[in-house]
Amino acid sequence: MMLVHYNYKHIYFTIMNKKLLFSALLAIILPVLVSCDDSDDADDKKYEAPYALYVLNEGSWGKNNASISGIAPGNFEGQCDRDIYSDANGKALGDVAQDLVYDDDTHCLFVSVSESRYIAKLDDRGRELVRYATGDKGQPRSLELENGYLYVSMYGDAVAKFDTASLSLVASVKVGTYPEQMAIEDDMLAVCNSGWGNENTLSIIDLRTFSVVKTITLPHANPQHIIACNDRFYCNTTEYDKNWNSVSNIVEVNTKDWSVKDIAEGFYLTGGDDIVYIVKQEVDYSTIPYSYKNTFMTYNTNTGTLGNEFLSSSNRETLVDEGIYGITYDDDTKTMYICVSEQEGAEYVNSTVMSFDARSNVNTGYAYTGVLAKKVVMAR
Amino acid sequence: MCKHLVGSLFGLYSILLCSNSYAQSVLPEVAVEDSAAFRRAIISSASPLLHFSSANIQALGLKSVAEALRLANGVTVKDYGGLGGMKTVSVRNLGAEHTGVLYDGVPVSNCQAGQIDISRFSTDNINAIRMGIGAPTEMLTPASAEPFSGNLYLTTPNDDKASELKLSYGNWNTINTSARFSKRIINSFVNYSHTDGDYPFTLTNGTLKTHERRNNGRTDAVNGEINASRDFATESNHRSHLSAKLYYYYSDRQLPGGVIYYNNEAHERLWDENCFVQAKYELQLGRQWEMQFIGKYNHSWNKYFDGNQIDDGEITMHTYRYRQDETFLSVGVNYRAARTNDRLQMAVVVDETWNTLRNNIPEVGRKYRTTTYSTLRIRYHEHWFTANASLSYTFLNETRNQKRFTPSVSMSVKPWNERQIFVRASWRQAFRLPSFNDLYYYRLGNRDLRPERTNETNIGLTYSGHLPAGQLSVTADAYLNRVHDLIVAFPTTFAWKMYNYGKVDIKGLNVMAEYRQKSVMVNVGYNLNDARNITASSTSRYSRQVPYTARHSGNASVIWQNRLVNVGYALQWMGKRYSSLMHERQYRLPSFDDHSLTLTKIFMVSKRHCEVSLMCKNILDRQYEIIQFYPMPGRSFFLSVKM
Repeated sequence: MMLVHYNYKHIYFTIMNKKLLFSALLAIILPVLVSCDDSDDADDKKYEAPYALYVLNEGSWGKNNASISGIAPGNFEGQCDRDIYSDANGKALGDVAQDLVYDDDTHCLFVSVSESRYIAKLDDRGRELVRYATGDKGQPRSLELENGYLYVSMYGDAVAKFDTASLSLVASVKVGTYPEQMAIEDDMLAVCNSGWGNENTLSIIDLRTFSVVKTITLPHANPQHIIACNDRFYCNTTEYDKNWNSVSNIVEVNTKDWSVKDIAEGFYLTGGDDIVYIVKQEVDYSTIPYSYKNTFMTYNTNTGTLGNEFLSSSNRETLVDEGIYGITYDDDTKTMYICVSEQEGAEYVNSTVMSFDARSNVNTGYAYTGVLAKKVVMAR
Repeated sequence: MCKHLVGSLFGLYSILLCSNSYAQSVLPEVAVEDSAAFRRAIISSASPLLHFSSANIQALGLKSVAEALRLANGVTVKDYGGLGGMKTVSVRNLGAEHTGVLYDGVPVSNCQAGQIDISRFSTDNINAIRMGIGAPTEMLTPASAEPFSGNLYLTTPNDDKASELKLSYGNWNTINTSARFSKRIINSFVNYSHTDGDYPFTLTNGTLKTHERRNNGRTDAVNGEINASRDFATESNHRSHLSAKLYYYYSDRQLPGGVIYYNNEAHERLWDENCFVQAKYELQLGRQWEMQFIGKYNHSWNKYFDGNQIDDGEITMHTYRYRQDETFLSVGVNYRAARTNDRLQMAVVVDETWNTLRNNIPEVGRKYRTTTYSTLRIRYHEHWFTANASLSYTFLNETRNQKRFTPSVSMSVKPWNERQIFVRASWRQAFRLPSFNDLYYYRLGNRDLRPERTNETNIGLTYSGHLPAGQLSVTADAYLNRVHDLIVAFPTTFAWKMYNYGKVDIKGLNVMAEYRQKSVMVNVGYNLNDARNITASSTSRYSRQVPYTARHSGNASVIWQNRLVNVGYALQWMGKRYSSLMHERQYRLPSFDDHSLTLTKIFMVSKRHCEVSLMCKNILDRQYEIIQFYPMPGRSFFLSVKM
């Protein structure tokens, strides 16, 4: 802008001229810089996630109080958006949310609400885009995303394949009874056939043909949780004795030779960076609230040895008697998330999720979420 | 069995339980419709007492015991919705397991589930419903009724009406037919009911309001009983009475379950069968001694099926069958001290029950339980002062033995001779034993449960007086209850999950006023109930109102009899309450008011007394829930004919 002031005409003209020159230079250079930045994204703006983390809160059976919590970036200090689905849609999520996954490509969430019998696609703020009601096909259980498809294990003894764009059913394959969690390694999907406590197999589905190519027999019954880590599958099994005391084991299944090996006693597992993190939990249901005793361990998948590099010993002390209900490891940020359930009398109330830096073992945050938090999902 | 019970003919009918001084604090078990005696009993009772006569029940169109109790002050009915839905009674929010039920003086037990589902008691065969809060005041009440915080006394008609037939029909294909026949010493009753149970309701889910219909709610039930009753008289001062009953009940209920958002699937079903035979022999020896012998054998069976899990036709793993057998004996002796002019009485009652539980769950196996209850009761009564004291000892013999003493004292004082004003106070300790379900239910039982203990205190004021146009009675009671080792349950349709959980502090007020005139009766009640969680380990939820407990609630009823048509109006209202200790919006149940109206026309048809009634329930069509996710029916109509 050329300001011509009668008294300081000379000075202003000089300053303005310099500014003008600078602006002109920028006007020439900037487009060049910006255009180099125009890489794969179609839009100019960089995606800003409203939430860095989502927490899946299962809710109590029959209480219709399942929810998804959203934790904003840099805001892991207690309060969070405890129920983003209700806030965005004006109605409740439903009864017993079983699984939640985040699609990095489309920035969408997929949720499976087991007792309400539907799966839904939500945007990153929790607004529902489309849902699929499973009806008499059975309760939807776990979810896995791969290559633009959503795989859902269903209590009608099947694994179903959905198109992620429209959530339309593409195919379905029969597996064992009461299938639970799934894991994918190298185009092979392994699903736990829990049999409601009576089955001891994993069905291996080749995703290229979407058919069951192998059935793995496990040494113990009732597999429910499974992860893929370093070319192997790790799943838990839980067996009950006559007095209803349970024993849970972690089993390793090698995807090269399909050999099966007992690793350790444990129930909760998560993995990353070639390490499997395990929590063995002993519960005494005769007290209120229930009494827990947690043992933490790590399993090095390369050396095949157990260790206790799972949190520092003082952190383990703090968590030894908490009602841990899920653990999630983020290998991108090297953060361990621990979901702790809370009870008020016999009723489950709102949970606490804690995060620990896996290297320094420092407690880096916590949030009060919904009832029975069990899984943390990272948004990228 | 009947042959044994029909003894030889003897004379006078014994009014064992009906002496003048007795009527002051105890209601006669025999169905004598003496409203003045009932009112006196309620006003002068040392512990709170509520009463519904069959006339009131019919006038207000109350079709079941549960409906009647929803109008009872200080009593909460946990109603799981619908016509076949489970209904349990709790007194002053102490839990349904603390309420005992006596049917014609003999305890009804369900040590499998620990609580009685009163939805099976239809009012067609009930002559009086009485609710006693506190220790039983009748001297020879079976000792097993003593540990309960409250007892529900149901009595069946025992008059000589030749026969009666009743038919009723209402919305959602609700049919109820019953017939009663009596001849000389035997009277028999049979009842059949059915409902499709598919009533519409409005479901509110946040901002989403949808119109739904209850699904999987069909109920069929049949029950019948044969009663024999005979008086015997020996020499001048010895009188005795023998009554016996054979009872059978069978129901096949589909359970709609709680509402699950977005999912209408409901596949649970429950079959119940119950039969028992009971006999009671009451003996009066002179003026001083009374004795009572009760024997009962009860068999119950239920089968629960959950078809919600779809699993290739393999559904047997989700069918549970239970069988429970109980033998019950009660022996009681009551002595009136002649030197005190019968003012002082002492009674000892001993009960023994043997229970066996069988089920199809291999891990549980057969369970046996033997329980002995012994009670010592002392009573002193004068026209201006009544005092009761009792000490009860319960011994449970099972895999783990449990024993407990429960003491109780109550008194009532009439300060002015000419005025019917009484001041009363009572204190007691009560408890309830864990039931078989609490201990052994498949995967959810807890074998280490301790009995729940309560400490109850009550002070009250009652008044009864004549006004220019009628009679007014008022009772006001303030109470303080503390519960230790509360056994808390998750409410689901059938399966229960129970644990010892901390402490609850309950403070409350029950106020009831009744105005009677020749043809009008108005009854109003208000309850204040402050029940707080004071468990030490509780953190942010310490001292919060416990779930399903409204701070304010009330009821009202009006009966107007005239030559044209009898009108009965009833109202139940409840303030807001939460379904959880988390006092958040999603757990909040708003307040509601449920109004009902009954019009009855009585006329004679060839010397037979006939009644035609039209009932409208929930006139204002309010959508509400007593238990969250179990919606109650909206407006409904019933037409019934009785002759």
